[in-house]
Amino acid sequence: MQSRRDFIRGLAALTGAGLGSTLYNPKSLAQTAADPRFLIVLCAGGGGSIIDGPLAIRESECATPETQNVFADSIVKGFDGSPFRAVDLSGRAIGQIPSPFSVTPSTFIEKAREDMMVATWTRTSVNHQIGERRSVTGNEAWRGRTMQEMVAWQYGGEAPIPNVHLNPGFGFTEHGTDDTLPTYARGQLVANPTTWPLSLDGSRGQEYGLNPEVLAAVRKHRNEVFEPAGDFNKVYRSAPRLLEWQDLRGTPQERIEGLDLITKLMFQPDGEGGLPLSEFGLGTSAAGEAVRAAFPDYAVDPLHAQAALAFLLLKYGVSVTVTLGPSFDFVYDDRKDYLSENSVLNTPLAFDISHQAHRAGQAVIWDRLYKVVDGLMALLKQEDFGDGTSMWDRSMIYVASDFGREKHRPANASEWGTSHSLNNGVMAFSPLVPGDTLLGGVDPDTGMTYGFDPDTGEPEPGREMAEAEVFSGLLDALSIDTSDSGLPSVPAMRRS
Amino acid sequence: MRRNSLFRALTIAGTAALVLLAAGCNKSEDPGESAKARVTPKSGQVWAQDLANGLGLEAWELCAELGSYDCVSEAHLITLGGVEPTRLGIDEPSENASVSAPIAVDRVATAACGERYARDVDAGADGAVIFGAVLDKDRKRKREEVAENLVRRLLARHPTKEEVDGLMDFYKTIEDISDDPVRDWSIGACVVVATSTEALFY
Repeated sequence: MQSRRDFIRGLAALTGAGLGSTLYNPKSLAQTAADPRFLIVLCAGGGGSIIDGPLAIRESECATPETQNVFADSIVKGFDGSPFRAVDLSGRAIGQIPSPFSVTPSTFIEKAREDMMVATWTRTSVNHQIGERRSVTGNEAWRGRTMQEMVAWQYGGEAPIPNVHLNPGFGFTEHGTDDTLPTYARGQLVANPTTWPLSLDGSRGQEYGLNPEVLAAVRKHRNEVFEPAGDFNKVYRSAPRLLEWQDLRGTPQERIEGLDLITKLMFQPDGEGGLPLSEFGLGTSAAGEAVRAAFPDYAVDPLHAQAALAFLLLKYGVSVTVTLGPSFDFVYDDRKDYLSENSVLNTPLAFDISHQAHRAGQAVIWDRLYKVVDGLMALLKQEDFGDGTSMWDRSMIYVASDFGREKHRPANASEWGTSHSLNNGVMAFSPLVPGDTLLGGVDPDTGMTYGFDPDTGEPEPGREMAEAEVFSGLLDALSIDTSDSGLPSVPAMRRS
Repeated sequence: MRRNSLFRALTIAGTAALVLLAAGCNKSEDPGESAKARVTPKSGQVWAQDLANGLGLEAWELCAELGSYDCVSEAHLITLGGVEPTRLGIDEPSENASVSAPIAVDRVATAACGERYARDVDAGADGAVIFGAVLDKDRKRKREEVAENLVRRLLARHPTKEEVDGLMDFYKTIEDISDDPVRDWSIGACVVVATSTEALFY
């Protein structure tokens, strides 16, 4: 266990020993904390297939369209000068779920493509948990550290909770394997975005609460008088778990409570339709109305609730990286008429419903993710960072998936099931990556993606991009100091 | 010769007794440090059950956020080191304590101790479970009784004099900053004991 203070102290010694990386230099870390980048990992769990998203193939482009995953030319929308496409699709059912759907991703792609990059890659596992993990570690490319941990390490030195994971239970939110990582950079799990802010103040909002001065005195007596007097603390005074606990009661606790996060992060409205906040002396966030407008399904859709909290965590400087995504649970909007259009908010197993209903499932979940990206982009663009830039100017939304899907279909099938595939691509939305840019390409006859030159970005049919290359390229775009990491250089993924 | 042997034996026995006595004294003053120093956190639900038992409450009576969300089994379940494999896929407690866990612990304990105090007030001095003594007449002797009672009930052991004296002295601190020192000392002393590392780890 390393407290933030211990870690910084250790860094000072290392700096003296000549290690020059930003990550090992206290002064540099302080500078980067004041000039941060923000990483949002939006998880496309279950296998978000890139050729069912922005790299859709028209049937006229394919030599054997009847057995390939391609779309009728009439529904594939392109954009002038853009490599991206969108398929506006509707249907009467999502596989065996008799609920009609209608999606129009073209509206979103048109709006977002200037800050959108797709890079192709070939994965190393078609196991969900492993594929998810490798999407954020580049297949353990840098001592098993995750992208979120690296962003938290470099930019989160001053943030109370730098790395927050809002979608537990996936490989996307596992800890990395580097024991030397500072504790503050490790992900903190948030299971329920609605009630979690209540855990950020020791007493407010309680029927029998203590006033802050009394609570402070209680803590001081416990920490400085009662515990030191007992044998338990004498016997186990050097136990790592106790030291960790005692450290958390110090500066981290002061920072969290000092920011009034129980209010600032409370996106639920007060009163009818929300929570009885004022009855308990609490209130809703000043930014609550804006986030509720961006994510209107927050009350019924856990993903919208996650997105609302994710934005607030970044806005109020609590975190520098947040990870969110759809769960594998079926989410149904019971505010709508029974089985009416778009009443299914999340398919069972999210993208992995593709085993039964590839086409509809991919369409519904991609559209779902696009709407979350749209909401986050809009909110971050409105947020002034304070130096003439917006928060969006410093942000990246990385759409991470565990793997792709098989490219074939039964002859002329309009719906079918697919297995997992190593071949795929990733999407990133950010002013930090080359906009309206496809790195690599797709063979329209096979649906297989191919790679690109890491320096120039020129497409290279026959080349496969490794997980470590995409991992490195995204970290580079976020200006993470990767010196001495041994990672491959992929400057093509950084906006010049 | 026999006298010398006897004298030597008595000397050895006396020395041994002194050594043992000294060792005993040391033990009572400083039990020494564990070579392994390994402790394990109780899960939120185990800690809460201990707390409920100590306070004479049911676990579900300890704390409900906004009057609706059970603190331990719902609102702060994962923060307090719990698991929820069915919906959330969390089948093992977090390796490290959540950064907000100590705050959540204080929150649950404040609610639970407050609930006990309120019930004791309603029950009056004779029917109270823990705080009856200070409700009857607030004297130092009565606070001592409550302090001893809190340690016995929440930590399942006898208190040391140092701990009890400390909790009694704590009243002076509270008097200076509280409008209702009897209430705030009672709840505060309860929170001190209930959220001590001895209550949270084993």
